[in-house]
Amino acid sequence: MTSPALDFRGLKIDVPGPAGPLPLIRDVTLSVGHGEIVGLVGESGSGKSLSALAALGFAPADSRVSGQIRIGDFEVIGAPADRLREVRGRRCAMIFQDATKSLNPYFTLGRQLSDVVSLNRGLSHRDAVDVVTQNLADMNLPDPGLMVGKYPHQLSGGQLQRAMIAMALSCEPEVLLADEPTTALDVTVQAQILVLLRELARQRNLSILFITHDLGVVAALCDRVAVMYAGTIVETAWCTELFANAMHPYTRKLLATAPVLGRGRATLPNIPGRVPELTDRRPGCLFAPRCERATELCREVRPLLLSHEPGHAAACHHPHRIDEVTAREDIFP
Amino acid sequence: MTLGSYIGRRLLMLVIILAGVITITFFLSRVLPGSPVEMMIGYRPTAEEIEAAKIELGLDKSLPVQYLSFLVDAARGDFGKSLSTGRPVIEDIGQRAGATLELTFTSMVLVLLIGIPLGVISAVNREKPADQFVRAVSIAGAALPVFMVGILLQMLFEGQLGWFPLQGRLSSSLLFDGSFEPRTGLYVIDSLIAGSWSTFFDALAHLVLPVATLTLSTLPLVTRITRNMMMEVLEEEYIRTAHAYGVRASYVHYRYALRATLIPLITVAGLTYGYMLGGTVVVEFIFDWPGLGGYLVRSISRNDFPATVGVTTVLAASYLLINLVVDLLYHAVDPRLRNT
Amino acid sequence: MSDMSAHDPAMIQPRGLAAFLRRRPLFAFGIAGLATIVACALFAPFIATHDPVAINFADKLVGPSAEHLFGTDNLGRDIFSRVVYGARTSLLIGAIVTALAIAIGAPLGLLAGYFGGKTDAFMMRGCDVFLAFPPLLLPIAITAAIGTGLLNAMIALAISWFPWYARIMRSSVLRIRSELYVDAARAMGVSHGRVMVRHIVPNAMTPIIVQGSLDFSYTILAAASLSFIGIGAQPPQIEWGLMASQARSLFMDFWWTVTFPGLAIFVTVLSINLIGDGLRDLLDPRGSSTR
Repeated sequence: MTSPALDFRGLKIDVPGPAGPLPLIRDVTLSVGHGEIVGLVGESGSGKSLSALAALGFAPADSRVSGQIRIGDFEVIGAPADRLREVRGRRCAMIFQDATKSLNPYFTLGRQLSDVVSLNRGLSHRDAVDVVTQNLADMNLPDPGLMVGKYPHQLSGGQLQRAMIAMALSCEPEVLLADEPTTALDVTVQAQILVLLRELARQRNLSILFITHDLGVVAALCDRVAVMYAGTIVETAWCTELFANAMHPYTRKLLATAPVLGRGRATLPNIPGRVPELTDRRPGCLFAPRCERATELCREVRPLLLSHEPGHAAACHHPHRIDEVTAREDIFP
Repeated sequence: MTLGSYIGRRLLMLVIILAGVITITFFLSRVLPGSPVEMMIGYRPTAEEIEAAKIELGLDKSLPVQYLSFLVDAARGDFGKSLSTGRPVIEDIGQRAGATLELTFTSMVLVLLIGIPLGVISAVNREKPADQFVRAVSIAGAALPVFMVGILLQMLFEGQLGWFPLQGRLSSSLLFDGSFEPRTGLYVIDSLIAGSWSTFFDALAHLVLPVATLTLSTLPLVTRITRNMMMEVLEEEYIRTAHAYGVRASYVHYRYALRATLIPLITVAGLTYGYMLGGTVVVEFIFDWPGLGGYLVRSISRNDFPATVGVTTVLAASYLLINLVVDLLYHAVDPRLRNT
Repeated sequence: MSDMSAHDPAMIQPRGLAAFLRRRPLFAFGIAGLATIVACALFAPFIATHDPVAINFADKLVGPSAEHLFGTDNLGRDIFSRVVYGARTSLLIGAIVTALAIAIGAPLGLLAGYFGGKTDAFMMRGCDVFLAFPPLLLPIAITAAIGTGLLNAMIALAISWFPWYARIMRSSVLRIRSELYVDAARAMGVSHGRVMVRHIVPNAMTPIIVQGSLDFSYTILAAASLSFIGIGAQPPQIEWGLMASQARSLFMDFWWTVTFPGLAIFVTVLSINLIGDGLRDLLDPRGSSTR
């Protein structure tokens, strides 16, 4: 493999605070290979969505962004607005969590989708509408010809999410950022969308960064997983490897509390203790206060994300080893 | 719910509220018993004169009967005779409505044409110099009472520059030489119908300062509301979506966001009209504009109750009607309401 | 980077009032302006250079000078002194009208929100009727009915403004009534009256107070307009709108007769509005400058 499709290197995002900058993202280093589906897992507020938005050049007002984000050979951070526009949609498209809010209620589906297509691919309006209709059909939406004339409120959540995916794919991007695209949907529709995404990745060699806090979804869909905690990537591994041999104590706790796909709602895992505040400036591991393996070392030195096995990295001084395996078979479908 | 039944319900509400408005004005007009009588027959009347006047005004009957007949008459547009002009109030109103309509309508069009773009520019350039300038001017403008706006304009354009006439709707030479005959009551249009350019420009010149006063004093309100609405829209997720798909910022702002802003802004037009009606009372007073506002002030100062009640009711009714139209329009253009 | 504020969990919290004032010079200006006006109102006899009602035809229509800072009017009265005394009237109008409107509106909103059902429907439709009048027109009509004069104009303004407070109160009450502690109190046999006074009113007053302070400036403007068209304050009362009205036939030749009372209204209303804006930012930093 040459350079990855999407590559984060030491991403940091700070917003100014009363007593110095507040770190929204402390350290995100992560790559998504061509045709690969990587799951990004973590609790709400751990910085998953923020990282994905940063890949498209979005950042909170007044924030300071540093590090590197590359989409193919394009460096996102520091790129001027008009260069960014060439990447947005065309090379990297994003599917948002709530399609009912992410589509403009005052325009028909056809208008919104065809605007994007004609702008990004230089097609005439009529050709764009044809492309859009075909795209909607590809998403297994019934009556795509009728669908283009509809307003968002006339469609169901599942239909809108498919339309959103159609919009994302209409520009034939290399990378797809999917920000909890199935959270708002019921379980059956959720499963259909996952199957759809998986097929797309295979057929079009599409790279997908899939953000979720539902480990069941990760198990069903992803090749690799990255676990995020308090703005930091704490563990990355192949999917099967992670579920079998999680190294980071945080990941272990996540797995132990995870609901099973199709059988439970995706809720916050219930781990004792609290996520550290943004103002928390302790030097050591951010998870130490909630970790029973924590030692003096953990409280003083922040662990780096290091490979402990081939393809398996964890930011932990005392990672769990294979011999401690207590895999949860029931997570796999 | 179909559009038809919606309109029906709104019309019913309108009738109920209008009845409420008339009820309030009725009780207001009867709070001080006796004064209409005194007004009608003057100083130190004899007992017989008072009785005769009471009978003519219907004050001899019981209050509920008075109320009912008042309600019925008002519903027919009959507010009795003006105590100061001696003519039916509704005729007086008809004669002056054109002047007020000309003033408020022109101002309304102007304030929306200027205020909406200013608010949009301000929102799109949030916290940048353009925004700060617009906000500073509108905060300052909102602190000026209507009459000060009028007085300042008079001082500047009449006193210093001598560009525009101070008061009235037409120069007296044109008004009294008998050549001009109002038809619609809107002098600018009447003069065009008559084909008289000199009258047209004269009427237009008289219109400038009152319209400017009314426009400028309502402008901060419209600008601020537009800015707030547009800013709310710009925070919406679907706007972020458009940016995330590489749509040009200007296209996102002026096509997507503006459309989403203009629809709720329709309701602002109704609100603006209300402020115009309040403002026109002061503006007509300053510029001696022969419309309903001036008539109202004069009626109040002369204790002319039928006229006061009549004008108030008619203005309130027009406000209600405008808001009804606005509401229906809103339903017609918002796709989320239109198709349900 | 684009500055789309997608997620914005932590906004900048200023450190204390001093930092806030430095960051918001307009707010500081508002405080200074209002402080000046309040000082004028409180210490009018000490600040005024002349008797505000003393007529002196020998000195009529004199322009601004060291003797008469703002000049004199057509009766030779010192405009500076009159403007200073006028602060009393305007601030008093603002305070009384707002307080009166709250005193009428808040209890109505409380009853409507607490009891709901027919009481609520009846009261709210009643409020709709008042709100159906174009602003400023209702106070004019009420003043017309109960007679012109400053006191009546104030009553009229309060009557036409109370429905807003009834609405605000009602929506707060609806929110609070559904809280558990209200149910708990009722279940323990506490009377309706006691629940309202003890549990609901204290929690519902904040939005009313905030709105009241914002309406303060509107009230001053509206009262000045009523005085200007001759149905508010009457001579020999000293009120800025009335002063401007009295100068109507003079201002073309004697600009100071109208400019200074007008300026006084402007500064007062502007100061209050700037303070209101600043307070909103202070109370709600997340929505700063959004509204």
